[in-house]
Parts: sequence; C-alpha cells; structure tokens
Amino acid sequence: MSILIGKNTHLLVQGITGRQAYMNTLYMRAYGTNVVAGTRPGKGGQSVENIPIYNTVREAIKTHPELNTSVIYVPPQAVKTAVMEAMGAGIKLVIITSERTPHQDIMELIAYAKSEGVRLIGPNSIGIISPGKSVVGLIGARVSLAKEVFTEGSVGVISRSGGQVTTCCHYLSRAGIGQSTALCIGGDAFVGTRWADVLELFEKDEETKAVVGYGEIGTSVEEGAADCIKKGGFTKPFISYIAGKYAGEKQRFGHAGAIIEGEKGKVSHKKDALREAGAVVVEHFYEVVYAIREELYTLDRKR
Amino acid sequence: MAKLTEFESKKIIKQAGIAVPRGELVSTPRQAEEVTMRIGLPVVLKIQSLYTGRFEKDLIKIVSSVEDLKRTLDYMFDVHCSEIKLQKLLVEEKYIYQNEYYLSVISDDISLSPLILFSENGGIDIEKNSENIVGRPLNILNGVTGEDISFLTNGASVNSDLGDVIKKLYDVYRKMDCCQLEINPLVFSEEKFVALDAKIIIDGDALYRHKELGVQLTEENLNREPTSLEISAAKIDENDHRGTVHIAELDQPLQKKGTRIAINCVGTGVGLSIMDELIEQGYMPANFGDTSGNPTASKLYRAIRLIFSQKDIKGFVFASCVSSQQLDNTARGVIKALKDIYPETGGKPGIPCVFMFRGAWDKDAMLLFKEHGISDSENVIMLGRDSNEYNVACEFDKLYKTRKSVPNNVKNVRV
Amino acid sequence: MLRMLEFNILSGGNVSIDLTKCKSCSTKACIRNCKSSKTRPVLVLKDGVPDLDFGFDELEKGACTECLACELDCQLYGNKAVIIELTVS
Repeated sequence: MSILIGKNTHLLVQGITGRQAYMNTLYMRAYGTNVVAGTRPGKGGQSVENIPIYNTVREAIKTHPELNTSVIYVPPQAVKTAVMEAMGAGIKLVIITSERTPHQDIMELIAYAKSEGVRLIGPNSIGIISPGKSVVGLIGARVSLAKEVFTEGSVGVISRSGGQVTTCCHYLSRAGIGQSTALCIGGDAFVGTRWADVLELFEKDEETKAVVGYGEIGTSVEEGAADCIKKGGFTKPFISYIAGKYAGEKQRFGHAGAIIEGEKGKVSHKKDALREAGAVVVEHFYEVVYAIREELYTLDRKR
Repeated sequence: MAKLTEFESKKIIKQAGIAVPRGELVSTPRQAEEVTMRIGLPVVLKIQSLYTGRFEKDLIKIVSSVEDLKRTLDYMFDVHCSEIKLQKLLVEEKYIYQNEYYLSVISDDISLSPLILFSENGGIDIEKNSENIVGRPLNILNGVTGEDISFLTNGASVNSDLGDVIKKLYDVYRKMDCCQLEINPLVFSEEKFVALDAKIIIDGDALYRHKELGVQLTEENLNREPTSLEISAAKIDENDHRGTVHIAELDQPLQKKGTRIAINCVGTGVGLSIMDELIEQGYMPANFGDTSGNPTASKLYRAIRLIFSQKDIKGFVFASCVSSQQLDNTARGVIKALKDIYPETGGKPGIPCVFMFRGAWDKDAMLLFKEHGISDSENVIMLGRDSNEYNVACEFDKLYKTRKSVPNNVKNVRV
Repeated sequence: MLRMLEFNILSGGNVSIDLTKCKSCSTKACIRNCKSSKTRPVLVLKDGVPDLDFGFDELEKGACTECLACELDCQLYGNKAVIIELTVS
C-alpha cells in the first residue's frame, strides 16, 4: 500500500508540451507511472513519445475513462483555468507543480475542491512518489537517482520543501529505511493539502508505520499536524525537523510561505506544539534517521 | 509581496468609493505650504514611508498654525528625508471624530480563505487591543454576505453604512490581489466613514495583473525598503522564468553574532537548514541565497556575482539539497562567476569556500570543478551526496580555521 | 567568410565567437556539450567552424539554454574564441 498514488494511478499531464513537462513525462513513465494522456489546447491529435495529446481534459477522459489523477505544468497565470478544468471533468486528485501562482487563485481552487471532494496537492509541489510503484511530478528527476534515493518501505515522508523531501528519503534509504510514500505539499502559504490531511491518510495506510516531516518557519502547517496528533487523528510515531530557528522576523526566505510574523511561524512555537502532542523533534535534519530507527525498533519489540 | 505607501493605498480605496481625507503628495516645503493653504489648517503631515510605526518615529505630525507648519516642515525635510529614502510627504486635511475603528481584509493561511477583521477600538494601539477584534472568514466563492456583515457589526453601535464600506473594501481586496488591506483608523465624521490611514500589500505573484502600479517585485523584508542588491537580484528573474533566484540581505545584527560569510543554496529548505547549522558554528550569513527550480547557468552566474559583491565576506558556502536540478548547469554558472571574480587565479577563490553538490547530475558538477582546477584550490572543499547540512558547517569551520592561520597571499578580489 | 558569430540570449547578454580562431582549433570543444531547448544543439560544425542551427530570434526567445558550456569548454580545450557577456545590474 501507499497513499495518494500507486499502481492504480492513471495520470493525465496538463500542459504536456512544455520543456519541463516533456522531460518530466518521460521520466515519470520510465519510472513506471502509468502516464495515459496529456492535454495542450490546440495540439489535440498529436502525441508526445506515443502519449496522446488532447485539447481538453474532457476529451481525454472520454477516450480514457480510467484517468484519475492530473498533474499541472502550466504557467502560473493559467493554473486556475487548468485546475478548474480538471475538477470540472471529474478528476479527484490534482497535483500542481507550478510556482508563483497568485494566492487568491489558489484560495478559490481550494474552496472549490473542498465543495467537490477533490484532493489538491500544491501549488509549488515537486510531486509525490510511492517508491517502486509510481511517481508524479519532478521528484527524483532521473530514474537512476530516483531508484537510489527512494526505496520501498514503511516510512511516510511529508515536506514543505521540494528539495528536502528528496534529501530526507536519501538519508533514510542510506540507512536502509524505505518509504511508503513521500511528498512535498508545496512551499506556498496557501496549499490544498497540509500535513494534518496527509497524516490522516498515512494513519489509514497499513504499510506506513511511522512518518517523518520536514518543516520550516512560517504558516501553521506544523501546528495543524500537532493538533491532528493531539486529537487522535494520527497515532503512529511522528518525527520532525523544523528549519529556520535563527531566521529574522518579517523576512521571507525563498518559499512564499517561509516568513515569520510576530510569534506566528517561529520554529520554537512549532517545536513546542509538536513535542507537546507527543511527536519527536530533532535538532539536525540528518538525525531524523536515528530517531526513526529508534521508533521502528520500539515498534518491532512491541510486536 | 509588494507593499504600497499610504498615498497609493488611499488612491485605490478612494477609486472604490471609500472616502479618504483631501490631501496631496508633495516633495518640497514650498509645495507643502501651498497645499496647506488650499486645504486650510489644521493639517496632518505624513511622510510616505514603508516603515512601520510612523507615529513613534515622528514621521507623522499634526500642525494647526502657520509658524508650527514652517517649523515642522523644516524638521521633517531636513531630519527625516536625509535618513530615509522616500522623500514624499502627504499633506492632508485633519478630521475631527469620536471613535477610531479598525477594518481589514487579510488572506488567512489558517482558514485558507479571506478573513475580515473589525474592531471598535482601532487606532495606533490596535495590537494591544487585539482581544476586541472580531474576525470572520469568508467563502471566497461567495464573497461578503449579509450574514457576514451582521456577524461583524453585531452589537456595534455604528451606522449601517459600515456594511457598505466592508463590501467595497473586500472588492478592492479581490480586484487588486491583496494579501492584506487595512484601514486603521476608520472614523465616522460628517455623516460618513472616512479612512484616515490605509495600507495595501499586494501579492507579488499577481503583479502581472497590475502593471499599472509600476511596482518592482523584490525579495521581501516587510520591515524595510529593499536594498540595491535585492533589487538587482529581483531583476535576474524578471525576463527569464527558467528557475528562480531569491537573494535577501539578512538584517544585522541577527540573533547571534559571528564571522560574516555569504551563502547560496539550491532549495529554500536546505538554505534554511544550512543557515541554522552555520550560525551554530559561529558563522553569520550576510545573505540568504536560493536558486531553485531548474535555472540556467547564466542565472547562477548572476546570482553568484551579486552574492560575492557584498562587502567584507570572509567565506562562502554553496549547498544543494538532493536536488532534481541539472547541477552541471548550476556548476557552470558558479565556475564562470568565480573566474570573473578571481581572474588572476583562474577562478580559485580568495576566501574559504565549501561546495556541496547532491542530486541529479551531482557527479558532473563535481567533475566540472575539477576540470577547471577550482577544486584544487586550498580554499575549496567539495562535498558530495554522502554529506549533510551539519557536515557542511563543520567542514567550513575546519577550513576557515586552517586558512586563517595561513598568510593570505591571494588577493581578495571583489566585483 | 564570416569573422564573428554573435547572437543575443533571453536573459540579457550575448554569445560571440571569433571564427578566425576556430579554423585552427583541433577540438571544436564548444560544440561537444551544446544543448538547446529542442532536441538538437544550437552550435553545429559548418565548413570547419561553428555555425548556428537556430535563427537569432529563436535564440533570443530561449532556444539557447544558456548553459555556458561552449565558453567554458573553449577556454579549456579550444582557442579561447567564445566569449559570453552577461549583464549584471
């Protein structure tokens, strides 16, 4: 098992003809993802390396009713239309890789997705990988790297950073600890799916025994996860690292969501909330490996 | 994010039909006097600055007599305008009123929706009176409803026109892609609501829809104006959307003092992590640098040139996450920059540098450094996929201490 | 014969190749790692010197990936004929 994506993923690539999308599509397929079709208005009828292109999502679904996931590669100004199109056509899982989308567009999409029961990942997400099964997005980049860095196993990984989700899996895999599913929720402050939402999915996933999270300054994503744990929404071990403890206030760091305003968004606040909820928080990122090893060992002994 | 000045903000809300005081923007004392005569005393003189806390910083003055006006203008133009960069002064009519209200619309990242905030105890002490603020998240698909308005104004002993102001303000928030839109104080005077001060922060990612504002997007620090380095850095991405560059000068002194160094990272996450590790070892990053996505080598070149142009940099750390970026391109950009900064050594840096390349094409990146002879330098340590953020800081510390004890015969060349 | 090959690039700046130096170059290293945004490279060998496989317009719109490999490789292995000027404000 895994969450969100796996062997049953039938993927649509929206904006398939762009440079990044094209390279990425080839990578996803080479890794084993079932890439069924792509869209690009005006290029319907053509194909990309034998993957058929359609003008609209509806047209694609008509020919390929099995499509259940869409990944968005369109430029920021076209994201809202593209995602609305996917949701309107009945797709229930949409991953937005595009960066720098106006946040009010995203708030509209989030509200609409909620009313339609659609799961939105991102924007500004590098993607999701269920090792050995399926990858959606740029995460891994090359099959050779992906096979080395991501290994099959029982630890879930969630991250606010696209780079650090891969880094985390790399640390885990080197220590012989495999992953069930790893994903980046997106670096923006307004994202469709937050840690707490993912934890609930991991809770239900039998294969996942524990979860690691890379967090950072800004937003209330980590506090939300702490709340979820406290309320019993997630009962498995949770290990976390939070970056940016020396970051100054009101300074934005790269990600749109990485900014401290007042007490809100400080590392200390997040650490306190998570620790209070019973999660383990480590001081250096690579230490997640030792912490998770200990948790897995304890779990094994209980059995 | 792009913060607009009070004058710009008021212009926008006035167009939306919310009353603001009569006022004009001036840049000389003479103009200020002329405007005052037109409006009539008393007037409020407000320096247009993005700094917060203008009252405490004496950037706002109320004057009621001609002598007072002259004296205050002299003071404001001589003292303040030499200290702060913005030399515009807003001369405005003075209102008489009873209560100060607070009204704002913000994008709330907890409810993931627009949030309207209202308080009957507005004014400069709003933060101290925060328990009196009523908040109402809205469904962005529906906008402001009658229920929202009655919830916000429930029990408020104010005129029903307030609902109208709320609706108009929300329309501005939506139309202008605001992250935050605030009127504080909002007062009731002469039978209408008037916005005495206004603040608008626009989503930097939506600026393409608001070209009329002519705002230049820069790396944001909401406490201050962007530095010239940050303005130059923002220009790198302006016409080229292949990958992103974020460079910000970090305010000194930060929480901890240390040896001043420069950094650039591939990925925000690794950047923040490295920053933490370096600071713990006593090295203070002068800047935050993040080159994410899949940038061109030329983008890296420009970023590194800018980062090395900072004064008194004692070392440099470059670190990538386990990245999907084409790190060979990244390396080429860095190498060309080093060659231009240190021409007499063929790119061998004059300060201690640690480079960590991890991810796709990481081995190609390392080979390029070797090929160009840069990794042979005694000032350089190369780290690969088997290292982590903590290692980088330790290795840099070791290198820095070793190099410090060696007489420096390589000139430290700056751009 | 053309003495200078020059084209502008998307991010602001230009690539210039002094072709008088290229004839005697035994490596033509500039071509080896050249990549465009399409599947074929920007630089191709024609009459023993580098030539462009794209129009100036396409190159300025992003066909040149600005990987800087031509310049760096020429500096190391060629006759130092390639110079890339990148504007930094």
